[in-house]
Amino acid sequence: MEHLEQQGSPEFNFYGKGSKFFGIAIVNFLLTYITLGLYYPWAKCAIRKYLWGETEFDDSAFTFHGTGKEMFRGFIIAYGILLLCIACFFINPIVAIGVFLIAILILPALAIFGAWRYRVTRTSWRGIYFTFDGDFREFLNMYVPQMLLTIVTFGIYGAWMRVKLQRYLFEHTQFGQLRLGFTGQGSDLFVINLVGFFLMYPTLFLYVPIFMKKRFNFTIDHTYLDDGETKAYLDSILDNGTAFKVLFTNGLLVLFTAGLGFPWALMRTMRMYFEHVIMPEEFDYNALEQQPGYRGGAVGDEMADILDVGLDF
Amino acid sequence: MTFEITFFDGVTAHPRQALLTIINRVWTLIPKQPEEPHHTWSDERIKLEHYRPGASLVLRVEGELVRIQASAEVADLLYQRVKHRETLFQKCYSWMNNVGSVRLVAIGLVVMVGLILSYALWVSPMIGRLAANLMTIEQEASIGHKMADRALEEWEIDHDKSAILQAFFDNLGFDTDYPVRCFVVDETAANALAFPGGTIVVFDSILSVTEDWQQLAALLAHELAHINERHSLETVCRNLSTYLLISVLSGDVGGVSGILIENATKLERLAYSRSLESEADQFGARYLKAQGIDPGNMRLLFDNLERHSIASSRLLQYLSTHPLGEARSSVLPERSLSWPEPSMTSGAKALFRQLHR
Repeated sequence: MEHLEQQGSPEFNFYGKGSKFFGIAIVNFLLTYITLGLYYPWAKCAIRKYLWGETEFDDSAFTFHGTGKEMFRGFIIAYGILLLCIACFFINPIVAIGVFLIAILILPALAIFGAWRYRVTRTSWRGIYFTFDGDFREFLNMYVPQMLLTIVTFGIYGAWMRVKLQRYLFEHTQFGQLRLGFTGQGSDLFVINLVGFFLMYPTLFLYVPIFMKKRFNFTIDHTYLDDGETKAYLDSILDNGTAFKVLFTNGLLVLFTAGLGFPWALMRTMRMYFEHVIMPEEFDYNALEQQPGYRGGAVGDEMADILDVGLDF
Repeated sequence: MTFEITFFDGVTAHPRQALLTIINRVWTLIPKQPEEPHHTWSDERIKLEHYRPGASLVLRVEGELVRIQASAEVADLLYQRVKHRETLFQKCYSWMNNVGSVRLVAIGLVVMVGLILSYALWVSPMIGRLAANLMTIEQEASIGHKMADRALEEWEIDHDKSAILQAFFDNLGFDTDYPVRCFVVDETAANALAFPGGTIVVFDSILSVTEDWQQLAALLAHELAHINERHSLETVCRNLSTYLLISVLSGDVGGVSGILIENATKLERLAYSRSLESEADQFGARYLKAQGIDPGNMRLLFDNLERHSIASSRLLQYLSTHPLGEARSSVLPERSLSWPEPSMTSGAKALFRQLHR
């Protein structure tokens, strides 16, 4: 891939508007209500199309290619899997306990893996799809011991687990011929979480914006792009002052509008995050080429919603 | 038509400047770099994938992704040419994207308020009625008694007066399928309540408002009509409508009973609709007439209640749960001076005197 000599790094920009997002959310809510929930996958699709479409990199917006139809299929299958697990309780309680134990280990893994794969492979920039070549069995083999370790350590190991999952998902994701990578360490994330835990209450939650900024910077600063020859890191220039100003006022906005200000707060937060990411200057993004990749369905994405598994990275 | 555009061919992210000519539904793309290939597509081969108003279109041409970035005017013109190929969802999404933010929010809010109102006015009562009709009298009586017992725990029952009121009610001989129980409770507020399944609770303050035994009979007839016509059950069901319907349809009567008992004390605050009140008046008047009591007593009772409510705020509670409405008096018959004395008069008079002692 061609390398550029210090031409300045292309920027991210986010143009989402709170009023438009609020309108889309209201229409989504109404249609979901009228159709007794069946519209939900299409509602989610509309939100993503809007958010992706308002995010630009080097003056070109991203596109979300997921469809309500495939998300609906995923939604039905995900619910089907859960219903099957529940149905086992009526067949044989011993079998049910076995199925339940397996399900609580496998389903969140399916949700995290599937949701990431779906979102990544349905995203394009300038007509170039992101690709993902992870293998679920491999991911599961890594996930299960990590999860068990997290359980026996009462959640303390969670920071290391999160970093390992993130590393796996990033390292199997490509943006054209640029492969993503992640070098964050569990111990660093653990310290951030620990400090956050101890400062949250004494500061009456005023530490939340700083905590969120630290987590964001941790993710961005340890993420790199690799074209096989050069490895270059992303950089976050988000500082405490900006994070505090935006997130604190967002909190007030949501609080004093009884939640109605949430769309505006979300748009401000997204703008803050995107506009403080510096992409490596080493690559010529115009030279990105489409790579072959497996696309997969939306089951994991829907499972992530049902199980409320967040993909905050 | 010829436009200047920037396009991406889905193979590389390299922006290409080109001239796009559309003649007779054929799109011809001529890149400005002479060495680059021309592209020719007919309208039918082009499917719209995504449109960002005034900025870009993402098209799918025979499965391949093509992105076009152009000026707002050109992007909109191109969108107009392909928008008829949008799916229903895309049409909905494009509409949301094209309509102004303020208008979109206003439309959404208006429709939302409309839906909430329609739910409160039509859907919820309908579900309430449906849930009430699905219950048998035995189920209703069993649940209703439990509800009443739960509510009675909150009040101090006057057992002596309750026994007299029960005897008074039995003496009237009203026709009902329900095993009716009557209670008098010591409360400063003036109210009378009918629980589903046949429990009538009269607050002792309202007893003093009834001027004679026939007005008390009218009050009980009115409450009995709420029970016989399942108004109480319907009103409770309406308030817990959606949850109850799911429980009844799934055959979970235990669940229904739990919900109703949990909400027993709320009955005191639940208001009957004006139409249910009017229906209870009509049926109550009919019960009185059937027992040989002048139905005009019903009108007299409510005139009396209305008059007293002006003088005493204690009556406001009854009026808040039993809305009177101006038309009520005009619908009910007037008391007749020539009405023959009913057969139960002497017994009823004696019991009424005991209640007022």
